[in-house]
Parts: sequence; structure tokens; C-alpha cells
Amino acid sequence: MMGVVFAITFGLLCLAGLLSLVRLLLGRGTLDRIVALDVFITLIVAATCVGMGMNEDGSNVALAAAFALLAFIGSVSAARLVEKKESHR
Amino acid sequence: MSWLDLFSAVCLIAGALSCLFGAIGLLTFPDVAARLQAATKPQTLGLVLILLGSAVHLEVRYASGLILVGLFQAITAPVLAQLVGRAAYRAGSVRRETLDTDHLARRVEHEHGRTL
Repeated sequence: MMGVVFAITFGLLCLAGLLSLVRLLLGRGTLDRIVALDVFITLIVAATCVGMGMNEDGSNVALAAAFALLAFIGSVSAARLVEKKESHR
Repeated sequence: MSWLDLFSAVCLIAGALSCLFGAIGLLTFPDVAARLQAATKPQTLGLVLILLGSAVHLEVRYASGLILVGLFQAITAPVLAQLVGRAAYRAGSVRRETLDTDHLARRVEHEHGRTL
């Protein structure tokens, strides 16, 4: 029973990841891609946590935390760069 | 099939659906400011629900690590939204007709001495 639940959850997360990748490719600007990339990494973190629950092995918790922080740092840095570029225009 | 398994199943499915709706919003919303709503709120809710669903199956020390992950996401998402929103506004990526109120316009006019 739980196996089916995990499979459904993974399927929905993969579909969401696919949609964010579509936005990443079709983005109308840099900021759209930044937002899409942040969503995609959040979905990776979620999938990692689902994997932990499925295997009942929490050794990847540090990986999930690191991904969450890296997504934040990367997106904020990129947003700041875009803002600086625009203010010098 | 215990109550804990049922709780976990509901949390996992609801969390995944929330993330999926956020991704759908990314594709269908009109501009960067609207897409930020889709990128931050459903994703954070979905991630926290998935963390709850997974924590049920883990030992206490790993489950407390998941609290950290949820905390990171809950704190960083609004900061990201604010920064990207401000950059999008100054870059002209925000559609003015979709805004009800625009408090930033006055300040930007003051800075640049012109109207956007």
C-alpha cells in the first residue's frame, strides 16, 4: 500500500519537475529562468525526502539540507546580478 | 495499515499535488510577479507536507534533520521572492495593469527623476 503511495508521489513530483523544466526552456527572461530553476531544485529536495521515507534510511538528510541552501544562494546571487545589470542600463 | 501510514500517505499525496499545482502556475501565470506566487507558496507547502509524510518513516534524529530542511525552505522562499520581485520590477518585467497597488513607483520615480 505504501509502495503505491510513494510511486504516485514520485510520479507527481516528476511531472511537476517536467513542467518547471519547460518553463526553464521557454522562459521569456532571465528572472523567469531563475524562478523555474529554484522550483526545480525544491522538487529535487522533495524527491530526496520521499526517497528517504520510502527506504526508511535518513542518511541523505544532509544532502537535502545542502540542496535547499544552495538553491537559495544561487537564486539570490543571480537575482542580484540581474538587478545590478538593469540599474546600470 | 496503521493510522500513521494513512497520515503519511495523505501528506505525501497532498504535498506532491501542491508542488504540481505550483509548477502548473509557473507555466500559466502572466508575468514574473505572478509566477513568484506559484514558485514560493505551493512549493513550500508541498515540501513541508512531504517532509511530514517522510518523517513518519524515519528515526528521530533524521526526522529532526528534516525539520531543518523545512525551516530552510520556509525562511529562504520569501527572501528570494522579494529579491526577484524587486529585480523584475526594476527590469520592467512586471505588467503594470495586473497590479492593484504600486507603492514602489513613487520611490523609483524619485530615484530616477522620471516616470516608468
